[in-house]
This record gives sequence, C-alpha cells and structure tokens, in this order.
Amino acid sequence: MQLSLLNLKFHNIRDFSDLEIPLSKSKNKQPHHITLLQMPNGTGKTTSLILMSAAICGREFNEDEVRSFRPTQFEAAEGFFEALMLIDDEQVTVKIDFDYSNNTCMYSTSKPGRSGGGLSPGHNIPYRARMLLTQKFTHLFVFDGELSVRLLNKKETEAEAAISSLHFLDRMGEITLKIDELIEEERAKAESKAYTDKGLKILRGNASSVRDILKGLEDDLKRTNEHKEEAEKAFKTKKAEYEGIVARSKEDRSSYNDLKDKITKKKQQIIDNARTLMVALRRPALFSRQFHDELSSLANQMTKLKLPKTISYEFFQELAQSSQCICGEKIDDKKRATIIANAEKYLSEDKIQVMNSLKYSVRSMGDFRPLDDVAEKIVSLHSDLNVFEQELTLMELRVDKDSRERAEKLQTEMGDLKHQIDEDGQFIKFMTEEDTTFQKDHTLTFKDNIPLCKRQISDLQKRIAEAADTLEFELKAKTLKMVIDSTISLALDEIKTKVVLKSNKRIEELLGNDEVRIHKIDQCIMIDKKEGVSQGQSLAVAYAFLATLFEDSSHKVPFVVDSPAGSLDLEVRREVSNLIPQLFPQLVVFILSSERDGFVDGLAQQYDDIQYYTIFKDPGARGKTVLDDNVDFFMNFHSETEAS
Amino acid sequence: MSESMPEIRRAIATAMKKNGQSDSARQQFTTLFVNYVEGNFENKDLKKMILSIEVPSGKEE
Repeated sequence: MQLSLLNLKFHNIRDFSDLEIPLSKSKNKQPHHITLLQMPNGTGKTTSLILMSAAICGREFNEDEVRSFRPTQFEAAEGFFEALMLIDDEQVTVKIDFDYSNNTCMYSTSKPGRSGGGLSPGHNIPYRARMLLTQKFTHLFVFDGELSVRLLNKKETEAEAAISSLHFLDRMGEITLKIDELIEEERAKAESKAYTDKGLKILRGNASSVRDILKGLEDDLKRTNEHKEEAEKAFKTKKAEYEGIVARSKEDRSSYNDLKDKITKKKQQIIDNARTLMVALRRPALFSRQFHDELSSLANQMTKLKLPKTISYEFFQELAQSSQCICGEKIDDKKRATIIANAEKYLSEDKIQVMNSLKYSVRSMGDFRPLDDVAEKIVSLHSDLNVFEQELTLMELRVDKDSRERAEKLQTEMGDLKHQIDEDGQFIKFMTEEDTTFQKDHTLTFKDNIPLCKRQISDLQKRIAEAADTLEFELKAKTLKMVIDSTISLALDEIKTKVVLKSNKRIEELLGNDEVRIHKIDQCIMIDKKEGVSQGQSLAVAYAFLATLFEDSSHKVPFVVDSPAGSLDLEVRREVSNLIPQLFPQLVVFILSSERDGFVDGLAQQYDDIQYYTIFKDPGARGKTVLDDNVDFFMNFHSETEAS
Repeated sequence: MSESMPEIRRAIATAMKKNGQSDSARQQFTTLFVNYVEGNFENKDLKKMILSIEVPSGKEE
C-alpha cells in the first residue's frame, strides 16, 4: 500500500479562516519529497497533525474535541478540513465537516475513479488502505513526539503493536476471531447442548441406558409371547378335553357342535331384531296407535301457517297500496282496509318459524305400522334359544359324576387361561403398538413401548452424530488457532530480533559511541542502559526503530512529524535529517524557527526537493493566516517576527 | 502479504509442522491468509481450511 498527502485545506479551523497547503508539485500528483512547515507555537501545529491523522485513519471526535477546533478569533458556525491523498495511484479526498452548533462532525470521501470527484458520506478509503490504516498504525508515521515516549514506556504496547501492524500479524490474529465465530455458528446449527467432551459422554450414556431399556422390553415381549402361546396351547388342550368329556362319541360331538352353532345363530338373530325394535322405539307413533292418532290430531289443528312479522309486514303494506292483486283482482279502498286489518292474523313473532318446522315434522311422521310382529319374533327366537341351551345342558349332564367334576375343573382352568391370554395380549399391545393416538391415550413412554423406545434411540443417535461433528469441527478449529498463535509468536520473535539488530546499528550511527542500545522488544522497547534515557536519546531510538520498521515494510507512507529536532544535539539533528528522508518517500515536518539549525541546513545539504512554507498569523488582519513559500523568508523567520 | 515477508511464511511452515499438519494444509493456510489481507476472504474458505486440519492424536474424543 502506498500513501501520499497531496493537499490540505482548512476552513474555519482554529485560527485558520481559510488556508490551503499544497504538498505536491503542481498538478503532477507527485508530492514534494520534503515539506517544511515552519509555524510558531500556538498557530495550529498540533491541530494540523490531529486532522491529518484523522483524515487518514477516520477516527471519531467527541464533542469537546470538535469544540476545540472552533475559531476563537472570529465567529463561525461550521468549518471543514480536507485532505487530498494518493492511495495506490488513486486520488482520494477525505473531508471532515464540523458543525460547531451541535459540536458534531461528519466524514465524506470521494469515490476513487468517480468523475467529478463527488463526495459520499463516511470514511471510505480503498479497502486495503482502510484495513491497514488504523489509528494506532497511523500514529507511527503521523508522529507527534509523544510516540517516542510511549515506545519506551513499559506500560505501553506501541512497539510490538507497530511490528504486528506492519507485518500483518494483527490481521492473522483477526482470523482466530473469525474461527471463534464459525465455531459458534456450528454449535447453533447442531441444536445440541453436547458441545463438549462431557456433554457428548452424557448423550452417549443416555443412549446406552435407553438401549438397555429396549433390550429389557424385547426380552419381556419374547417372554410374554411365549407365555401367551403356552396358555393358548393349554387352553386348546383343555377345551378339546372338555368337549371330549361332553361329547364322547363322534355322533355326540357332531350334535354338540350343531347345538353350539344353533345357539350362536339364535343369539345373533335376537340381537338383530332387538336393534330393529330399539330404532322403532325412538318413533313411538309408529308402534302405538293411540300416540299416532293423537299426534295426527295435533297436526291438523296446526294448519294455519303464520309469517314472521319483521320480514313480512312490508308485503301486506305494498299489497294494500297496489291497484290490483297478483291474481288480477282490483283493490279498492275497502279491500285495502281489509288487507291491513287482517294482516295481523297471518303475522306472528319470529319464533313462528320454529313452530312451522315442528308442524312440518309432525305432519310428515308417516303411517302407523304395528311392531307386534318384531316383538313376537324376538319372543319366538328366545324360546328356541332356551330349547337349544337346555338340550346342551342335558348333553353335558349325561356324563358321569367324575367326568362332570373334571369338566367343571376344566372350565375353571380354561377361564383362568383365558384371563391370562387376555392379559398377555394387552401387555403385548402396550409394548408393540405404533399408533401415536393409542400411545398418547395410554400415556406410554419409551420405557414401556418398543416403537417409542426405538425412536428415542434414533433421536439420541442423531444428536450424538451432530454433537460429534460439532466437537470434531471445534477440535480442528482449535488446532488451527494453535497453529495461528504459534505462527504469530514465531514470526514476531524473528522480526523483533531483526528489528533490534538493525535499530541498534542505526542508533550507533545517530548517537555515535553513546551507550544507549535496544536490549529487546517486549511490548515496548527495552533499553539496555542503566542510567535514565534523555529526551533526545528517546527520540533517536524512536527514529531508529521506526526507520527500521518502515525500511523493511512493503507499505510506503508519508512521515509527518512535529518538532523533529527540538531535543536533539546539533550533531544528532544532522544525522536525523540525513536518515529520515531516506526512509520515507514523503516527509512533512512541522518545525519551529529554533529547530532550523542543524536540521534544516542538514536537509538542504543532502536533498533537493524541499518545499519551504512559513505559516503565521497576519498581524494586520484578525483571523487571517499567511502562507509564505519563500525560502529566504523561511530561513530568516523568527517567531518574534509574528509577535511584532 | 508479499514475497518480501519471509518471516511469516517460515513461521506458518514451522507452526503447521509442529502441530502435525500436512504441506498442503500449509499452502492452503498461506493462500487463505494472503487472501484475507487482500480483502478476498469468505467464511466458507476458512471453514474449508478448518475441515482440512488434522486433529493431532491424543486430542480426539
């Protein structure tokens, strides 16, 4: 990723009513290698640095920060800062509008490639740059001097974070967060609570228990079936013996069976006729002459039908007002009065409909039909049945006393066996019934019904499979996370070692035989020096560290720095002025007149493409700022000039 | 991630080997990471990557 700053515009920001700072050579899109912005204290260096950093990283501002940008020398309800940048050969403009009435701000960005340079809301620089240019990363090259302190502060993590950002190791860390998201998704899909080893073991334990229950049920079913079969076999044997006692000869057996058939048939005929009689009993007029006659009489007296008043009154009114009836007869005033007077006779309350319905039912009750024949038939059938049963009893009584006792015992035993067979049958039905309504009606569960038990096992197996898949996915995901953690750790160690070696070489160049050296980087830069490190030494270490980082980086960014030489000795200033421009394609330096010695002349001796700006408040016009690009003016400017 | 980032490639190779992963898993992860940095990333790629990971023996259920 390559980033350059091409132009800056201020409108109603602090003391800048309108200020434009071109950082590029005219229209060729290429920035000056070095831009020196000489500004006295209090003219907006820090503000400029903050806004340049914000335009790059898109940081938010709180109300107090917005308020701090409001001009104090003149009235303004709004203002803006605009930065024209070159990001990977695309021109991008980021504008920050400030609303001083509400103390809010809003970003807008030009769409790269869009003709006309229209701005759309938001900080939408190209994706690759957006991913890289976080606030922390931007602080590495929009350098406010405080960074050098933070790089060496044991409570800060800036140094290691800088290495992570520049070498994409923080991006690799982001992948582990994505992995966690995927694990959560898989867990949600599985719909199972068995995400862990323990959970899976519980599920497997449950499935094993239900399998044991199924085995128990199947054993019970087998035993019950065997028991039932034995009982049925015994019943059959006892029945045969009983029938053998009752009907010893072949002829007797035939008569005995005939009698039993006849008894069965007679019983069925009695049931059929009784059913006919029961149906008839629901309509008493059909079998009672007296009831039929009295009901017919009632129906005859209910011949006059009346109409419901609410819906039929209008009919009589309309008829009375007509000149003739629907039959063609003329209606005069007398007839009209008669219609109105008699209408009441044919009208009744709306309940009359119920009465009409009743009348209809009574009149359609049908003719009287005596049922004596059915009753007589039942009596006759019952008589026949008695005869057959007596014959059967006689046949049974014909046997001797011992046999009779044996037959009675057999009857008792057959009764017991029948009871056993019924009970077994019921138990088998409970265990094997698949009908869900039956299962529900009898509150059956997987503990007493085999189909339910099998379904329970199937459900558990499905959940186990899902849980096992989830667990396997999670194990794989965790392994990948371990790989990533290990990768980050290994890469960071190797890079840190290299950075320490190279930085120390630079520190030696900058500080000569000074004893200050980087011992290691462990979150921050750890200095190998017993005594305290001076401000100038800290700055030199920071420059050496950043120079090493950006030298090895594939990213090319501008280096924007405030007061780069203030605390440095003259010799170190020259070394720094020689070093920094070599490392960055663009250098934007905010400088005080007091810092020129050693630093600016050092730059001028080594580099050609330098733009000199002096920015100061116009003493003749309140709120007006002057931008002077004259080199001589720059070289001779002193902050006292402005004061005068 | 350009070719000028040999430290990360070496670290990926070492970490993959240390965790019992194959050379193809190493290549797959390197590609995934490059794509992630370039902004050409989809969750399905990461899921595929996870599924191709071998769980070292002793970690299975």
